[in-house]
Amino acid sequence: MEAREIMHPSDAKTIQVFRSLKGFDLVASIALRYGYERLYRGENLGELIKVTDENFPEVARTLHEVVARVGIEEPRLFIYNSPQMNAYTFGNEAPFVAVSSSMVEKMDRQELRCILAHECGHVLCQHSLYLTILHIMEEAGDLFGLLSDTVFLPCLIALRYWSRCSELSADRCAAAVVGEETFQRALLKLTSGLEKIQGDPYQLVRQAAEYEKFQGESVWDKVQQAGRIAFNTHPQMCERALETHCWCKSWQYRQLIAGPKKETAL
Amino acid sequence: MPIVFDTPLSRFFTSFRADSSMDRDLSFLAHCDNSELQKLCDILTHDQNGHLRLTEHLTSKEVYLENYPEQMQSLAPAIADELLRFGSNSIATALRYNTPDSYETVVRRVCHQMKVKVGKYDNAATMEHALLEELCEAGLKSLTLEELRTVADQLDIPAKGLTKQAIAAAILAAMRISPIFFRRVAVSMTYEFLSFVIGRGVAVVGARSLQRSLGVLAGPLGWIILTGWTAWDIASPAYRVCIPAVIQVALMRLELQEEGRDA
Repeated sequence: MEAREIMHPSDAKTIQVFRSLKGFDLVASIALRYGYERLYRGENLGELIKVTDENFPEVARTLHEVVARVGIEEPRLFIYNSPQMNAYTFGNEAPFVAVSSSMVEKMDRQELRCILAHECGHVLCQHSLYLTILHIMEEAGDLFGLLSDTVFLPCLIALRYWSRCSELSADRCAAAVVGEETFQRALLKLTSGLEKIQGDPYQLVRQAAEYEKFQGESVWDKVQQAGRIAFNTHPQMCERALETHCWCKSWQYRQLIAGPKKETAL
Repeated sequence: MPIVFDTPLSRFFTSFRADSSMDRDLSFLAHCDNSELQKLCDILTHDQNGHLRLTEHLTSKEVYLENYPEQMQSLAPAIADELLRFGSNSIATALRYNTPDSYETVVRRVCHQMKVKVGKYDNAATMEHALLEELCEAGLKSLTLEELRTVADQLDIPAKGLTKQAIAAAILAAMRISPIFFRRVAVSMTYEFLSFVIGRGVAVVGARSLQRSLGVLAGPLGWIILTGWTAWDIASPAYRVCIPAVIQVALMRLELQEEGRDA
């Protein structure tokens, strides 16, 4: 799999801009190498459980399969204790993936594949590298307060928007690895927090259509809703369901699901 | 370059636009060949390096995801809309409730930019023809004697013993007389057009930035004027996209007319 095959257009364009800025990559990679990456590596080893073929054989096997499909170097996998279903990835030189205990317990094997494929999608697209800049800005905001917020606010809003788009790219990676139905089912579990899901796995897609209709009722609704999500790092669940549903109708998805790579027009 | 980047704000504004029907002059796109439409679509969405254009909106659309690259005819209205957006001033488009200029206006603008003479009442097809003719002429002038002889041979024009100017004049005369010759030369010259277009585009950009930097010297009033000017300039038509796109449309129209004639 190649990053360009799964990248959401807005994500791809933003990364193009990042790469065109002289020194941006260098600053981000230095900040990552000597700052956050080492910091988190220590934290993971200190506080989290490292997944190996011996202690969690099924989880480890699932990761091996996903990594083989996505075509990246295998990241280290950790489990942390949390009742909230969540997972994250970080690092550029030696990326790692951390999943919550609740996620491992509540997701079946296919759904866990989906979650791991999502995280591997971030690794494939090198999102961590550029996410570092967002972290720096957020922390600068904490340090310098109002001044930093005033100066960085437009950048922060733009980076948060990119962060939401990067999640859509990772969602595409997950859907390409496990298929759309499993993806939608995993998303439903994440949204509800429940172990067992009843009914149509595509119910979030339908809900998204209802949300779009609601949002389009008036200008005020649009403004209110846009303001509500402006600082979110992740897109809304129904938006993720709908965006991936639309992408799953594409030629690119069909090519990826079909398996062996064929020559593309571009 | 249009100011409408793919941001939450741009998505917010464009979401108010009512779906408009396809421009009359571009409705033929729905009957064009799949691969030709794909070429046009790629011109609009990707730059020369194969990177996505920052200002394109097409690749995020559901219709694109569903139809590219296999059913391009279904994508024709969206392609036409994107082309018009690239060819229109974004601020003016927003003020007209997100309605871009007509294709005829876009072609007229492109012809003006390329210094192609067109009549006040010429329609889009006539202006496209004039544009292609101008580009062919420029392309032919840039060819060496040997290359010109090869082109003449391919067109079955006897070129033995003729000078470079005479061969070019003979090819141009043949093009003006015969639509078949015109099409063949126009298609073979496409690559020449593009390099010509890019070269001219760079010169224009350089000239504008020089004028702007001089304006900074005019003090605070200059700054105020320049802010508006720069915003307008950024929002103005993206010629590096719409010039090759209009040329591609012109070639496609020519191709379709030819097929109609053959039938």
